[in-house]
Amino acid sequence: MSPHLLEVEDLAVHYRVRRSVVRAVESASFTVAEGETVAIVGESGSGKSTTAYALLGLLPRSAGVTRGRIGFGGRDLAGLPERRWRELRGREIALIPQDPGTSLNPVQRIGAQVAEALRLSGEADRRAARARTLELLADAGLPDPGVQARQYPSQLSGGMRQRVLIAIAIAARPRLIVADEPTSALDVTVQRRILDHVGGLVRDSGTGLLLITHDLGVAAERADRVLVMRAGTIVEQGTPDEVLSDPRDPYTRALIDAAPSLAQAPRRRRLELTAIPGGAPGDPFAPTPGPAAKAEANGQANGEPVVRVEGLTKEFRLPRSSGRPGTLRAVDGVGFAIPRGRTYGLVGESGSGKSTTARLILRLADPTGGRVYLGGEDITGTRGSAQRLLRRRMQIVHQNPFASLDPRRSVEQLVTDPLASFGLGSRAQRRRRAAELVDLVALPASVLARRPAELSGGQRQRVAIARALVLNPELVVCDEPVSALDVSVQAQILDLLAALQAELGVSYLFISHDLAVVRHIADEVGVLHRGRLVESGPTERIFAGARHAYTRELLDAIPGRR
Amino acid sequence: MARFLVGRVLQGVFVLWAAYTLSFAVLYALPSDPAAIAAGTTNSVTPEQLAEVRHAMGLDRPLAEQYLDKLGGALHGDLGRSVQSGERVTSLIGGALPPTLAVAGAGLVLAVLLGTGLAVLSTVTGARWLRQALLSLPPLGVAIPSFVVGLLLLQWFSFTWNLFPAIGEGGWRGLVLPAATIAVQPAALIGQVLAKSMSDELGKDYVDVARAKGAGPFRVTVRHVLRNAALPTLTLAGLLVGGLLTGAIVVEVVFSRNGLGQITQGAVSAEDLPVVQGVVLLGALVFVTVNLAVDLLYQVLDPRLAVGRRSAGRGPAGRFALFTFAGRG
Repeated sequence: MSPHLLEVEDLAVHYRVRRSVVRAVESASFTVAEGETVAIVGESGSGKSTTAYALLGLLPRSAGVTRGRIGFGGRDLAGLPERRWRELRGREIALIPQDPGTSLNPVQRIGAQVAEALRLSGEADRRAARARTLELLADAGLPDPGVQARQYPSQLSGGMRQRVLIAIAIAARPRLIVADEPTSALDVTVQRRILDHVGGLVRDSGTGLLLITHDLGVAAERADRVLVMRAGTIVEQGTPDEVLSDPRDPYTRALIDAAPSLAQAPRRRRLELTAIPGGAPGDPFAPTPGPAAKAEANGQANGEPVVRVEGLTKEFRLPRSSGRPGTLRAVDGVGFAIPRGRTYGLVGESGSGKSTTARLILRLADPTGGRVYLGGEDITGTRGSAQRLLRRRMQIVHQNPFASLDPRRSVEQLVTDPLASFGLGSRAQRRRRAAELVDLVALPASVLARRPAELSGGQRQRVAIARALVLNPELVVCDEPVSALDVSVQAQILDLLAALQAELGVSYLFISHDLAVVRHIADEVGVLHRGRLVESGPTERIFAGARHAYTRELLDAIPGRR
Repeated sequence: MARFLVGRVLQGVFVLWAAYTLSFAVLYALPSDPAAIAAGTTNSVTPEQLAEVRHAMGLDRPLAEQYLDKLGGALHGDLGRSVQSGERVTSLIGGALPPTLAVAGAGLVLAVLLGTGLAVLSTVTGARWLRQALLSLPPLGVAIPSFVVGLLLLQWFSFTWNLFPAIGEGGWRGLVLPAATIAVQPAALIGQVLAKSMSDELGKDYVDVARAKGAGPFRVTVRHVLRNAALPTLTLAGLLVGGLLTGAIVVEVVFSRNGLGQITQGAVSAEDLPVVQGVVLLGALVFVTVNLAVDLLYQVLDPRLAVGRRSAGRGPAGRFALFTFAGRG
């Protein structure tokens, strides 16, 4: 009898993509003992998810295990036929998937989906499955199993859906659970509760847990042992203390440095503003400041902040139904100011009203109440062409660079698009401006002719930043600009944003659910909770002594802060 | 839900009114004289007699007055009388409708069964060659014109093998060939769209979860993927019903069956305007009804659509529904 539940030896998984071979996993060896939690840490493309899916025999058709051994319970799973796999999945090895939003069948009731796991594993017959389903949902921490069993996935929050997926995973009492980034799609506070819960379940039952994550902080806090994976190979393994305090591989070192939650003190930068190069705000080609710039120069003289909002409120009308209020207040009396050349960080969980606030400031939505001032000028009621001209002074960088860039346009077209839509500059001038900006965001000039699909996530986000800056705006709203990126890329983008601010004097409204990220970039932080600004002030003061209970909860939820 | 239904029904009423008005405008603007047709084509009709007929039919009144008068009649279920036979248009069409509906309905059922079967089989099968073969059928089915299909079916099934009658009614056996003829193209379209959305659905995360529970390919396809993939196909099927009705009318003439086809053909060639207008209105009515049915089926198939309307604002679940509603949190 082997002492280990799972013994992976020299595993290699290759994808066949159009006659070429992608070596996703190249020699991975590790073990998981009963009741042990092992974390695999790595960036996207490191092969960690491929490893996870190989352990479940759920690799896509184009992929295959080309070498090595997956020893589980005394037999080798590599090369097992599909029929044998089906007997193992669920009963012996279970999966907690990455994205609770898409991992449940949207048209099937929760109860049916949990019961299916019980029925397929032969755990319970139809009659017993009903009662057992409710038990499992309660075990997974759902507040009201009887109600949730009759609901559809879209009626549950992300955290509740992840609990349902946990209930499915533990349904047949498997000996090994593979959790593929189980919480990266969730809010930090929810993330912590879910991970605590899974940890408890695993400890109680003696199940082995293989936790796949990109966050070294999460791994160090939860796992008995940490494996660091890079380019398909495990470059380092050991206890969390060994890996964190004495990393032997330079890549591990880089990961530790890049992880926002692990950095001891934030990198600070404090540079005086310099003049905006090349033209006026809103028009990079203007030889002399236009009327808009003049008005704004006055504002600057008075020390007027770039953006000031007062009592901002936004209500959404709810579908009418009996006994409930007809509106939901997404933003409730929010007020703050962003000084010129500074960054204001807006933090909150999904649903807290962060993005709605940004949309109100950008005048993409009309507020129900309150005022928005841009450079001292009230822009709350602007309409038509005046509103369109505001776009030259305020720009946005979206969360997902894979969705925010038109895939059919070249980078040059993407970057010069704002200029073209305002008819600014000649063709040659625009081309020069695009080259300038691509250089500014530290991309090689060769990307100008390429399309977004040929770029990596970090490169795409740089293009999106270049596009936002092309008009010389006074304010750039960064809506979760790094949450879709790998940690090491996150750090690069944050550094780039800071450097650009130092050089151009642009102001940022930086929106994030992650306090650790905000700490690196923001001068001031505002914490939004259910549409209300519960705390606002200089970043360091918030981190040193948060007054509001909710802020403290957010701070505690940052992994690695024990 | 009730409000949604009322809105949809009002929309349908508007479509019917528009169809009536448009057909009135087009048909009565034609450079022909309904009175002359009614009086007969012989030259023995004197101008006085023609004027009398015209007066009796109300054709000498202003166009607006005629329109309002006829619209009022239509609202009471009176579409006028056939110029040829003098029979009421409603009873004429009502009598011819059942056999046509039988052909169109059988065609629809056949198309949905064939198309779904093809899509499911091509998704479940592990054999690559079978999938390829099945998926090459839809383009073929769309490419062959339905009259060719009809001729081939007749040639094989009635003349060579003598399985089904070539012409006439003959109970369900007479229904098979006309229904098969009009079902081929819709079946091909349904099969193609459904197979495509099923292969898209197969790439989704919930399929991995279902497989991780230990579900096999058939269960994954039928229990999980099919219902999710059915939505685009449902929209398509709704649109195809109109085509099936037209197809039934044409195929009836080919197979010499009694039904709407014979009546429409006769009415068009004789410029029997009230009957033609009745057929146009029937088409619009079918279209409106089918669309309403599709909308309701959507609610049944996809709980998310019903949820957003029913329980928004109740606790976290309601909040989520609202956010999908408002676009962003």
